[in-house]
Amino acid sequence: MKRNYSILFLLASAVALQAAETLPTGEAILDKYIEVTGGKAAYEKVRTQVSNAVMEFTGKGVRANVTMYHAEPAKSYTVIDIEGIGKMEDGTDGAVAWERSALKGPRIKTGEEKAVSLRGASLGHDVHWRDFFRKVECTGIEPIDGHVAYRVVLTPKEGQPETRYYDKASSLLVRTNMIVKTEMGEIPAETMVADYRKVDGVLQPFVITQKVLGQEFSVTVQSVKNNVEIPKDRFALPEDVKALAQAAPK
Amino acid sequence: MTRSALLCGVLVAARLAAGDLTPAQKQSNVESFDHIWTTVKESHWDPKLGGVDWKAVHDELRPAVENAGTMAEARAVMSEMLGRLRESHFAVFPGDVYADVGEGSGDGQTGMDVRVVNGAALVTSVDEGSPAARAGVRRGWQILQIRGKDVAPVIDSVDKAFRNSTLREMRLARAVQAKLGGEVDDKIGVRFLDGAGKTVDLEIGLIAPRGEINKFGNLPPQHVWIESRKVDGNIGYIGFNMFLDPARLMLAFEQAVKSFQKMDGVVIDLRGNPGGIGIMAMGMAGWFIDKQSQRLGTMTMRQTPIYFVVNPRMPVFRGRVAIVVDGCSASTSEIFAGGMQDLKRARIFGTRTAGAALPSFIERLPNGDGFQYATANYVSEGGKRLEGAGVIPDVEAPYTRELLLAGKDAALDAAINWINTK
Repeated sequence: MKRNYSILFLLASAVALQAAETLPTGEAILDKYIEVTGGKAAYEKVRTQVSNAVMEFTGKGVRANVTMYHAEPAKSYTVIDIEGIGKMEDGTDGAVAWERSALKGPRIKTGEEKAVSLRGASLGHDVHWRDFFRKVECTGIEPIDGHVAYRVVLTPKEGQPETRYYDKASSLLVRTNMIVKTEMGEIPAETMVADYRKVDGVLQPFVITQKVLGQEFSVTVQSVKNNVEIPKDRFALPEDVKALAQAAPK
Repeated sequence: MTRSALLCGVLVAARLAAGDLTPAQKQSNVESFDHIWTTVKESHWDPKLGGVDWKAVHDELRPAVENAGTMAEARAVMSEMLGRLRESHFAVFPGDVYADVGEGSGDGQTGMDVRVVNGAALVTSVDEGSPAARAGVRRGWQILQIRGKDVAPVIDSVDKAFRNSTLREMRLARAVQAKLGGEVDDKIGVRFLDGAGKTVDLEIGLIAPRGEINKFGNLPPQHVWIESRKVDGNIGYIGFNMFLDPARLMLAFEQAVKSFQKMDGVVIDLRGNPGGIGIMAMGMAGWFIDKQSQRLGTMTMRQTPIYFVVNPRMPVFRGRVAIVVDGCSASTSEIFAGGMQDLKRARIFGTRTAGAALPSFIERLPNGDGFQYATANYVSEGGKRLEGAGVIPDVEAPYTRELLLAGKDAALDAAINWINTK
């Protein structure tokens, strides 16, 4: 009985502490993240990026090699080569967002899905978050994945809100919860990031773990090269995607 | 009350049928009961289990499994628990069925395919150049013995276990096929009843399965093949054994459909195809559907519904599409056939499919029995629940010994006739 009272006391204290603590604004937390990961100037120096990673589907024995190309403004091309499955490609030339796979063939993204792709394609989407989100709000503090973290809800100009968790002590992002809108439905996804390493003055996570529909996979970054020359046609639409884009209603 | 009385009757009957259990066996039955209860609670697509008070079911039935004196009694209690869900594909079956379905046999195959029709194991196809073909095996022959053992008891055992299940045809065929397997380069003795009603004893060699090996995750390596050809003048035919190895299979499928562009129709043969990667169904359907945002169906998982959306692929084939299925067509085969049928883009020929469209799993329980459970619900675009029901063909064309012996392929012939009907 005494022990129960102790637990109640601790819980009450924690609630009281949280209530007493003034929460920083969401804007301040996002700006602090940019500051601790290298600062605006360091981010803005990065104009192109080529990354390689290995993806593993936990417990499934499935691995994939991932190569990502990015170039400002908002161009990207990602190819995931999954053992036993083949290539899954995703890209945008800054205007058309698309995906193509051995499983389903090519597809053009539209609406919210396209907006999310374009946002993610921009190398400056973190530093220029004000261009993409119309509202950010810190809604509390909570323990998350072994961190005490600020919970920040970001409402984009287009699309559904996402919730990010920033470590209270280090100011680093540790987790994002969002609903990923796809043609197959609205999929809840939890993304945990860790193992921050500095690349050309910018700290970035090298281990990304995602939980989707009860499945978990991790992406371990092998290399990141900034400001390297990327062939111009790297972001060009593949012929079958181009044909779909031309046929799609404007 | 009625249910309790029924359970009581089953328990009494079961107790009479077998001897008492050891304490270890009793403990493994309790562990099996708890495993089933927890698995359903945590993995069922509907957290409310359709309104069933699962805790109350547990509390009511656990004493019964604790007191069960025989395996059959314990199994009856677990079956009763699953029965409260009123769902297909939640089942417990005796561990000795595993022996009858040939768990653990080698990769070697004779090159003949088999279905059990009216209690008889019939040869439905013989691969050209295979050991079975070289030994002189013909379609329609009945298999009587394998390795000196009668096939009938195997068929009888599996038939009893799956009598009320749409999985029956698939389980029966697999049980016989497994007996025909073994190590590559081995030989097996098979006794047939030939077309003239005479017994024929043959030694048949075993070779590696047809197709190329595909390795995907923790799945054992699978042999995957696809074939396409022109049949009956101006009709394209595509058959493949699994929805796997997409890098190779989807490309071959694409090339086949493109080469059939000017033909009157395409037959897609999914008989014996157990499924594989569900998304491939959407990619294949895209070659035949020219409207955006069409769906083959919806899979409801605990977290969210997943829509099986089809994207048109250029150039879309606009001729007739016939899909041929049988009771061994399962999972992705059913998602593809059922969706194409509901979208009125294909007619289905053959026999009812296996009714195993869900991601359902079969585990061995601590007591050695099998436990099957589904983790999602799947409804085809027309609102049909395929699980436990299967895809019902538009044109029923079952196997018969007479037609097989006459060199006929009832389902394929019906599909070709329909395409040729102007």
